[in-house]
Amino acid sequence: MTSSPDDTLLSIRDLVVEFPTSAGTVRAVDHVSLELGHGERLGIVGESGSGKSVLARTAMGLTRPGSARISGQVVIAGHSVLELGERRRRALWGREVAMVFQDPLSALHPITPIGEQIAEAVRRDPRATRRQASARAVELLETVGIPQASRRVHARAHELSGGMRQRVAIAMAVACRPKLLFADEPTTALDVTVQARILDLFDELCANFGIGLVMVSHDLGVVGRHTDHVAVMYAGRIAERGPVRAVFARPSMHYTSSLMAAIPRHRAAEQSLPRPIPGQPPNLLAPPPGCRFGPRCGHATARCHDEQPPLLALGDAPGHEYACWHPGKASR
Amino acid sequence: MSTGLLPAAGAASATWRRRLRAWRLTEALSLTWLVLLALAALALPLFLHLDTETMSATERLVGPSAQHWLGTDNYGRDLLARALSGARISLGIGFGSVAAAALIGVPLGMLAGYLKGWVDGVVSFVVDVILAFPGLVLALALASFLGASISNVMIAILVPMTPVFVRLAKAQTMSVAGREYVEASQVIGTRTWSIVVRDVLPNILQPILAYALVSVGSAILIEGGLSFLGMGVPPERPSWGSMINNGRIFISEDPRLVAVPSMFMLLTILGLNLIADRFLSRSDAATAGAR
Amino acid sequence: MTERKRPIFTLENGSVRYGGGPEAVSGVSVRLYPGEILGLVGESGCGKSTTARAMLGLVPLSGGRLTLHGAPVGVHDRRLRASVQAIFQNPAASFNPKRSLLDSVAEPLRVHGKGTPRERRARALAELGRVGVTEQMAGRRPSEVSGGQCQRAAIARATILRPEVLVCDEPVSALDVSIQAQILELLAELRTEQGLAMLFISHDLGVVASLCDRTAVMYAGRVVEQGAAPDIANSPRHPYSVALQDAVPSLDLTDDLTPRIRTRTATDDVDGRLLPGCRFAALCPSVTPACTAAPPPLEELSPRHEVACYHPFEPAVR
Repeated sequence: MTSSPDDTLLSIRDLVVEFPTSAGTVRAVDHVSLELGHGERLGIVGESGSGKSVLARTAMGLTRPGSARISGQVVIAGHSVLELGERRRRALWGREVAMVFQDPLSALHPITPIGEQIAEAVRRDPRATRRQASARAVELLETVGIPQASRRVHARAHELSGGMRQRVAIAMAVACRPKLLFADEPTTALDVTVQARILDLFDELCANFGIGLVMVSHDLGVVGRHTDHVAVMYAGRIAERGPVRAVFARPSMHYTSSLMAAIPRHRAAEQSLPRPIPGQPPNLLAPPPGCRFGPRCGHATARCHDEQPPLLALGDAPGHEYACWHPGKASR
Repeated sequence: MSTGLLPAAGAASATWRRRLRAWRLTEALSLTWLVLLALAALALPLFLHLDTETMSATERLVGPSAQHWLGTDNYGRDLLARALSGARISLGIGFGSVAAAALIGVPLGMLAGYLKGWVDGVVSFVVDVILAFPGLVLALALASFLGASISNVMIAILVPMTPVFVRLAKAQTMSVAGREYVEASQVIGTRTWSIVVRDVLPNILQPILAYALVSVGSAILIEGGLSFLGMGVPPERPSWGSMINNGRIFISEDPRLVAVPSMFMLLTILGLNLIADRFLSRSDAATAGAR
Repeated sequence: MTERKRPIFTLENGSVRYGGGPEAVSGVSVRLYPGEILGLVGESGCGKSTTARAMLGLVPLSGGRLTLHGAPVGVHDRRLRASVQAIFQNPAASFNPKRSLLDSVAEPLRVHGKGTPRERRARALAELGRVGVTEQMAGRRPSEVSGGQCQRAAIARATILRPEVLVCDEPVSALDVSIQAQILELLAELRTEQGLAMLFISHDLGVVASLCDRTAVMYAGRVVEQGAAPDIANSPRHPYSVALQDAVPSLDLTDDLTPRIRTRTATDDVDGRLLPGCRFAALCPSVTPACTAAPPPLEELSPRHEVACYHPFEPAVR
């Protein structure tokens, strides 16, 4: 996605994350490589079990090595995240990279006033004084669009609506001006009108402060409207990726096109039911040997069931790649 | 934990083996101890005619020997025989009083938790009144009022214990009653009692069982306390508490008299608690999985 | 759907109040017709689920009444229990975790005293097979099967008594997109094959637009607009419906997503239930003094398209 290495903000190389369970080993992320430049927005979409959340959490350094086997490389702004010790990794959080979660309550302390929590986040930067931090907290609340910020700093998390809480969580995440922001289903728990405003806020933050964004979502519409690049994941692998418009206009891997057809449209000229994808998502304990989507794909041949398709470049747009032996031809 | 006892093949045996392997060593030892104790307490006195009462002027306070494995007490009575015989009474009182407390408390708690309203009001008031007394003091008062006998000890133990079962069952029922599957049953038209028995009871049983096991431990302790104070099991029937009571005079001369019944009590209560912990962690996992 | 049959099951002017708070649902009327799916959309706290629960007798009505075939019906009436069934949001949680799916699906037959245990088992298996749950799956407990399989079983349990009405409370919200489409297809089949009347609660406008025949939009405890599903999706008239439609990030990147109206503040920051007039007044860009004085009634703007607004949104001519 980026040409010169200096521009690279996030680089994931050949990442594998495996969780040993009593029933066997689950490979949640299976040889994934990704790159993201400064100020770029990347959407990772997939259904549950696709590995999208594990990928983001591992890249951030949140997956504990005790619970998982991790191999590969993750570099964020020049720091090899996976090789860092616990303390240096923590030092990275907030200042270089931050995360916004689905449930803002998990990121907020129930009793401490939100202003204090944001000020605390600001003070992860050792240069900030206490007084500066408090002033900055009000400023940050204004930045994330909370009205009457100077009054709201005294509010506690439970006094705020869901959307306002997520704004506070975002304010804490960007308090030290990180270069990279991970957002794991940041609007899934929110109503659609509130979601629209939070997504607009992400757009503004990226545009105004040059923050790079990795947004994990199950909602193709959200990713399609609010990111520049998209990676579609299925059973731990990248099925297709590229510039959002290219991928959505010409989905080439059959999972992508099937997924798009399975989404109910709310403004269709004629009413029609979405087209279901037959079958069940694969069992990650015993994934199919070839293409992971093979058993559910209408175009699968013997080759698909035997050989894993690699990510191949497609001619139409730079960076558009798909993992399919028989890419869809009948695109618009 | 030998898996060789189990058939080697088949999916069913595989899950069984996994379940068995999940038992930790401490839990396995606890279970073994409790089973052996129960068997010994039930069977040995019947078949071997272990002599708990014969006194001997010559064999007073002798140490362990081939004839008396744990030695004798101040009357020359065999300590092991008395401890095993005591196990019968202590375990009997422990399990018996807890079973009775649960049988009374759980249905009341479930009704209060499911029906709410005035039923809950009445039940909760009675529970609050009983719980306002300190449990041990209440047991003491009851025991001294009713007089020393095994059944009275059980009553003295179960009265302060029942309200806790009511509360536990009520809280569990209320959390289960809000679940979608209970609503689904209501929509089908299932009658209330049927919902309570089929949907609620099986899903609150595990934490209640765990608590019941812990309670057996405390019941044994209370029994010991009452007997120690001479308000429990009459002295002619050995229970662990009455053995400790008897031995306390000799504690400086021969601590064995107190140590033997105390060790039996300690191991038993520890075992019960460890097994209860396992029940609790399993029910946590089950409820977490259901969400 | 040109000639109107009589509704099977209705809620007339229903209100629900929890404890001492403001009304969660105020004067909502829902009419369900055979072979028709009514979608009830709105955001969290708008009262859509409460409406469904009131129609199922799971919460008491503080005002209004239910009718079945034109006659008032009490929530404990056996007729209601046999003819109105439900599907809930969380597939696994709507089954007793200690029992097999098969047992739970056969349960309605047992409750209503139909057949011997053997016959009930056979019928439950047949019903499960019809919705695509195999015999092997049927023997499992809810925690041992996928959400999609569980929701299929929930449909089998809801239809085994051959009810006339199905109330679905967010039945596909907990499912992945690919599975969600399977369940929607199944529900659409049920409507055509069994002529079921359905109330379909959802926060997902796309799901409602693609499945339902009519749509009602709820806001702060009231129905603000209702009409044919395509009309509500493509030309909403209540400012709230417009804002709601605008907010959905459309997958078709060619769609113009410029908001048609702009609410005055964040929608989740205001509790409209406390306002005396129109409950959207605090957010509505075209508010006038009339709006805050008295609540606008739900009135027909065009045939079968009702809106509760003094200043309905005028679509720009394209």
